[in-house]
Amino acid sequence: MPAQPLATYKLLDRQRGEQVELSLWQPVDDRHARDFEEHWRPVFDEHLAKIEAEGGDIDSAVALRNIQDAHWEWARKAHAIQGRLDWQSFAVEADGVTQGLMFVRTQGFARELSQLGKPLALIELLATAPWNRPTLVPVARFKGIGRLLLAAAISLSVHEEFAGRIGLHALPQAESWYRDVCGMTDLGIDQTRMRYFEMTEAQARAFLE
Amino acid sequence: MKMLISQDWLQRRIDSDPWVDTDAGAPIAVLTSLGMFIAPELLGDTAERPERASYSFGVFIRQLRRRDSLTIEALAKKARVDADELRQIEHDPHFRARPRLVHQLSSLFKIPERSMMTLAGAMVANDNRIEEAAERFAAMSDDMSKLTRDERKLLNDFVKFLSEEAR
Repeated sequence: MPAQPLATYKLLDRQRGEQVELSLWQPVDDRHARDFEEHWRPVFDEHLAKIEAEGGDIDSAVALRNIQDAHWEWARKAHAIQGRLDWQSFAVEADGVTQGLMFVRTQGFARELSQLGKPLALIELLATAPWNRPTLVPVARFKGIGRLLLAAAISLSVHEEFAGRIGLHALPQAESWYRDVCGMTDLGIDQTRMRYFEMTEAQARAFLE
Repeated sequence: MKMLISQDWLQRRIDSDPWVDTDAGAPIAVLTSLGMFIAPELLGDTAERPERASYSFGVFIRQLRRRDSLTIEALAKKARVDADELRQIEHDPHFRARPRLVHQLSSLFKIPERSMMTLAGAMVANDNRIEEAAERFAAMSDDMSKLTRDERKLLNDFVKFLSEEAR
């Protein structure tokens, strides 16, 4: 684990109403993986219990449970991919607690026609802490964790000489974010049963402008 | 790695962004079924293994370069990679080649990428066959300015083995 973060940024903590320093770490450390269990999971559990108690809709509960399970599995997987050259991991931290995590594979190849076969960085997980999700809490704490992590993935792609090319599978509720706000190309649903998006070199330049 | 965004950029963008979920990533079970992971128990824990593999990879690249009568600079230009990184591959067993560099070399020398990635230590194989064959190859390879007939045969046999392993 490096002693210094890769970068620091100040973001508004909307719960406290003040600017707070966030640090971006690369790679992910055991403490970030532990935060899944110790800090993220209880919030999901609480939310699920609430849905159940209120007789809320099953689809939302299942979707939430799937996200929670995915996080838990990634926390276990984080250790296995530490030190691998073909994986990079990032964590955003504030007040000593993980606010977002990202795992990127640097061995992907583009599918979009204009860049078909060219190497790209594949985001295999981009996750924000439950208290930063506007769909889970009334006043989410930090806005912009997803944007910051996406910018890190593009920076990694440039560093790897992939010219900013990235790819990812968006969760259904995040599809419009990647397509309409980030300007990525929607390549439809693939064998993962999720919608796959790619960012070209020109799109990456536009994103960073 | 350097972050390509400033505090000002981030703040401006966040101010105009809609507040929506941004999560991405297919479930691990799906990624595993598509071969994205090797089970941790197969990774092994011998610290010297990557170092030996890197040494063998360095010898292999040097022999391919000599076979094609290329200087390091000429190979770097042809493969569109950094000459210093090539030097490190050939001379420093602790150096880990980046996936992009391995990809470029694999395209240039027409060696299956999967085998090259394994050899370079950028990917873990299900068994040690490639590493073992690479070590035998490296041990038998001499470092003369031009490849001898035997060295050329040894190199060709190893290239053939890597191609067959990738099938």
